[in-house]
Amino acid sequence: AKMSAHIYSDDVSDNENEAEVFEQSYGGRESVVFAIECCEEMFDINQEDEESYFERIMTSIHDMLVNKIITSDTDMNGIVFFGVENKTEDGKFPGVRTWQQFDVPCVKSIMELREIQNIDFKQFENKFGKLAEYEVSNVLWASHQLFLNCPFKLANKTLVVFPWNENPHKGNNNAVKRARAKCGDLHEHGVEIQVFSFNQDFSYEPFYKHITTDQIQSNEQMMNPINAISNLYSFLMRKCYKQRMTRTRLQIGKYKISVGVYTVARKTTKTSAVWIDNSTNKIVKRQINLVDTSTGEMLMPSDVKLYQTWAGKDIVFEKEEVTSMKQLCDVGITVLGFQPRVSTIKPWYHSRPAQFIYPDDSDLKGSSTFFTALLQKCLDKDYVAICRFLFVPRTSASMRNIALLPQREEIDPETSEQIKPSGFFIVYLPFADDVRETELPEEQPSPSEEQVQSAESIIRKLRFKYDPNSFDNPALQTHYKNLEAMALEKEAPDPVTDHTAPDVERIDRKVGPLVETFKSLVFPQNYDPTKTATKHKSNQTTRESKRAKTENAEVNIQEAVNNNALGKYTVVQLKEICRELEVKCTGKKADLISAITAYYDKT
Amino acid sequence: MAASKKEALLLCLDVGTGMKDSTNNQSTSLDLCIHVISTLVQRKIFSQSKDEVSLVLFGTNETSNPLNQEDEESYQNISIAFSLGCPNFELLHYLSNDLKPGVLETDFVDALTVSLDHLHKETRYKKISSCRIVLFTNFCHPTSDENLDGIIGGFNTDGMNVQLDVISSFTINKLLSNEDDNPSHSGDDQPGTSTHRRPDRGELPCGEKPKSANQQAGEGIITRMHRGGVQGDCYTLREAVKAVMGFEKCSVRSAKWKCNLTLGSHLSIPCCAYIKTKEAKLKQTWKKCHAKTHKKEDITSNIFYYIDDDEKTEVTKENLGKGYKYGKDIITFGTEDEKQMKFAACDKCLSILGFTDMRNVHVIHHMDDQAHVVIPEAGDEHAGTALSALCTAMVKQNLCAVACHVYRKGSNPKLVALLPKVKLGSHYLVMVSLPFAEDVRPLSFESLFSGKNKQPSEEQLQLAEDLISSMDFTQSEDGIFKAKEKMNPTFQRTFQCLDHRLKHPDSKLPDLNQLINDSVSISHPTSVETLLDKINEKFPVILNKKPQTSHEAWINNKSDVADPDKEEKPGVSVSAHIRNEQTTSIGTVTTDQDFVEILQNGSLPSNEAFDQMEQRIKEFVSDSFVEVLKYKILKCLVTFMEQTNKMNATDRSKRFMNKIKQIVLATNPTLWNFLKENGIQDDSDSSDDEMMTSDRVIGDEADALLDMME
Repeated sequence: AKMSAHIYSDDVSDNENEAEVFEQSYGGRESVVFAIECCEEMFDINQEDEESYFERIMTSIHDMLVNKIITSDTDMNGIVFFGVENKTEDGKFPGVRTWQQFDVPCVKSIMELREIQNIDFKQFENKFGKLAEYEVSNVLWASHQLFLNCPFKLANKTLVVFPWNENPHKGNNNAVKRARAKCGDLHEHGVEIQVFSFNQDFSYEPFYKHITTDQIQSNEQMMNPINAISNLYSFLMRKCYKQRMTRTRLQIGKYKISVGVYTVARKTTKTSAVWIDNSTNKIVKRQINLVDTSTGEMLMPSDVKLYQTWAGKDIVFEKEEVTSMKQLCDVGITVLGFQPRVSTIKPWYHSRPAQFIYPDDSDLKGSSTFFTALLQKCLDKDYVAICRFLFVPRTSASMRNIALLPQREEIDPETSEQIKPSGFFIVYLPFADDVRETELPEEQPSPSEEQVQSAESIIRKLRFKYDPNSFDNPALQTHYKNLEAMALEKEAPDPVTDHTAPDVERIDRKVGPLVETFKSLVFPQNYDPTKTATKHKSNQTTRESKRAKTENAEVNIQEAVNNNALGKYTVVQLKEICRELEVKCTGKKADLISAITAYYDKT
Repeated sequence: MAASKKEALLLCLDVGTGMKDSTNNQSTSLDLCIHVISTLVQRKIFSQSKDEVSLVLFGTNETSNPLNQEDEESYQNISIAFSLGCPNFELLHYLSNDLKPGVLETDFVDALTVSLDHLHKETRYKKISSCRIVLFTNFCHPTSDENLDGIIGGFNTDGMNVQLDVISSFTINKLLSNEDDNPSHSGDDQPGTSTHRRPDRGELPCGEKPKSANQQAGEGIITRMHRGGVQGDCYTLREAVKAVMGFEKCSVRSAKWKCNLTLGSHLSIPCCAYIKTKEAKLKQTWKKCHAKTHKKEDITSNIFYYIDDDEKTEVTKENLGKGYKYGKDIITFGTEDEKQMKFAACDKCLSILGFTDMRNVHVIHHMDDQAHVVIPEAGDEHAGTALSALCTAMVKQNLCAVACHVYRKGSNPKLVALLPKVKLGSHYLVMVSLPFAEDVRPLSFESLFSGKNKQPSEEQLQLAEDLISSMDFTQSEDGIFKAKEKMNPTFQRTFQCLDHRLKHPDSKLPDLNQLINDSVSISHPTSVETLLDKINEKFPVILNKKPQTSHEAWINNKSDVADPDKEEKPGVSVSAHIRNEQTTSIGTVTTDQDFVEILQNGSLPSNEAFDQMEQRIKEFVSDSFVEVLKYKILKCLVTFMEQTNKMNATDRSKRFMNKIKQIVLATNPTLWNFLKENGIQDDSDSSDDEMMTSDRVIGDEADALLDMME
């Protein structure tokens, strides 16, 4: 039922479901091309990790594609080898071989990556040949072609080059010139080029500094970060996939700057099922035509209005009116004032995942200077900015109150990689309508020192460093492993480790005796924490008996209808009554009641 | 449990002469009462409250109530205008259009008796958790306190306590009444709260007329009733009008989620969770109806399935199957397969995986649209002790728990953080969802405090600090911004529009009402405005005509960084700086620059240079990537003509241009159009004189073009 609801969801009500459509792709797909120099050194087995650099790269790309299938399966990827013989193509780019065409990830591409992971140089050379005299300009051109020939609109284009040789064109200035010019072409088409090498002695200085887009900070020599990277996969994820950004204005009074809004985390769900034609296995699309019931004529958008029913009355509006109702303030972020962080941000007032903003000088030049000054001062004072936020891209967006939470940049001292960027987070604040009155437990006597110490001894033993990246979603992984198994006709899907399942054995081993001590301090002897659960069971029996009562008491129903007293019954009971009377009805309680009443009115 | 708590609200309104108290054109007490009642009813409708409402009028010309039917002599001129039921627009319509003031004087005590009787009869078969009568009267009419004790008894029978609130135009002095007898009620939909009660006793608030004998008698009866055990309060009309402004927030009660909090296999604490915050949605979505008839039945949606190709072959429903996308591939997946292979989660649980530093669970990583509180099971003091010991220990260690949360058997597991919270002596946990690895998007941005980003000056930093201080909520009159006290203006606006459209079906949307307008308008004091002017001056922002392309950004970055290119003279090509090499042939990469360089350094005879250049251009226009190369071709042509002009070789350029034109027109007419649009002219027919002028034109344009390209 859930599935069909997804497929059949009405577009108007969909709009109401804002959280779901929160991050639409604003202008195209993400795309990456990997260009890998395939010389012998890349295949040397590293003593420490027992894998070659080539294997490391292929494993990481494989993991990235698998991740992409789950998180955004329309993103484009391609893989180019260089320093190999070009055996398949028309010889246009000697030394360069496009191994995986530019496409969205699919079973085939993932399997190929899996198969090539453990290849050694001999096997590789047999398959792809070897050509040391390649030209980097050809590598760039071949990669550029992949981007150019793509029929889809691409939002971000990244080319990641893994060279081994730091200076491939020593003494051949024309080749260098060609590479630089080609590089200019790529930039002109919005392709960002990243260069990383596994070669310990690699330096950007002789050649690759001309190629990379990475901003070189001050006069320092560019560092090759890759040797310090322990997790190539997450490093590449960061480098290759730019945040999808929406530009908006941040304004205080009349003063405005430009900022980009970025997603921090978004709930990933299974991609919804698609309809297929059983005979051809082709994707089937669905189109809804609205027609006039009596004439059968197609209706124009202007022939349709929107309504809501309140207390039995349909209240009708034009579509435009419904949209304009939500336009209560200026689009963008409007600062209302500032106040201390601690009295604003409370975890129990969470109503939406946070977002991140970063200044955008390409729109309003000078934005970052004000942004930086404001960020600095908010950090100094530990203040947040309270703002009103009406998001631009969706018309269904409505005004929210937000707090801008400042964040200081953090750099990993070992790898000099950024852990946290500097900028503001958008933390959504609730409205009165969103906060519910909850009964808090009555005031209890404070726990004794002994009890607290006992609890402390337990929790100290179970400390760990939580990292959002360490827990996969087991349900999602299972789904995709199943798909993969079906696609490849495997006997059984690869097993999924469920990290969310508590390792009871480990916990018992570590804190078993401590837990016993704690229990003896807080619980009386023979205390049964499941006792209340049994009470729940007895509840069920009363429900059964209630149901029995309704079955035997149709007369009472008639009476209840006459007295307008159907409301006394529970939904379960009403459904039972409907079934008894063979009245077809679903929906809310009110619907059930009116269906039953209608039945008696008729008879 | 979270079973619905329904209230029966009986509005008992005096429409007699005593309510027509206005001497001039001001609203009468009756008008104000109707306004209050209408607003109350509206609020009930839009909050989709389950409360039921009834309207009893007294002082009417007609009589319609069951007590009168039993005994025609008594209870005259009292009408039940709306029997207890869900409030609807008919009631509203009746209130604003059909309610007629009466000319009679009816005893309010009789009206109360009818009301009580009605409540008792109607609530017998309904699930009602509390009853309330709100009496609207000015007590101007004679009254009798016969059988008052019986009536007081009637307020407290059958285990149902009926509350009596009184709203009148004057302040009722609750002489001798003990305020502690009137516990403030928990519902938030009363026309006022006990804090509105006037503290003054005995003295007349200014502006009120002295009370008549009838009024004093009425006042006495109410006081006696309240002292006799009837709960309730008294308000003035003015207080009531003020209190009902704005639409009520939608009433949502949290359902209890009951589960034991477990740690390992031995520790299990009976707990339950309630939603604390969840983004509220409008209770109704917008549905489609026919524009002419306003009926949804007049619209039928025809669903049409087709194969997504050029032919758009229709597929019948029987032939539809289901599949999942695995990247590019579609994998067919029967419902049976799906069921069998579904992730088998454990049973409903809330199970701790471990404890982590509070700093690791940042508010920015909280997921979903809600936050829960987890409290010990009510009535289980041992659970309370266990949880509070755990909470206190977590607070002391500055740790929070990471746990696995399964809502019910078969639902997918979630990762949650349990944050300890101690408030007013009660200990509980705040539960928020955490992201899975698949959900987290990496954030990586250039540092704002170093690198190429322009750093704010001391003066600018001071301005930012001044701005924060001048807009500091802690220094403002209203104090800090309390988000949870602000009503969602979008909801308020929608209700206002719905209400307005119902009353005036043919008019446009109304202007924002005062309340909404107050909540969305912003005005800064002049001190802030002055500061903002200064900020505008010291932090200039310039609108870029078009967003920067990454190419421009790249060029800028390259010139910003310490790079040998920085010392370049403007207009000199990038490639010239791959140093110590004399260009001796025209390459395909920086063709135009090579050409100019060769002509300048004289490494080749100019004729040979022209030959090479022509050759290159011919190659370009016949290249299969000609589309990519078109700017390059343009640039080369412009450079070529410029140089030939300089060297007085216009004949040569003319000949070449004709040749190129022929080639391009034959192979790629769109390219020719592009070139023409960009100033390359078809000069084959032109005379020599014109040739000169057109060359000059080309020259000027070429300069502009080159400027643009640099």
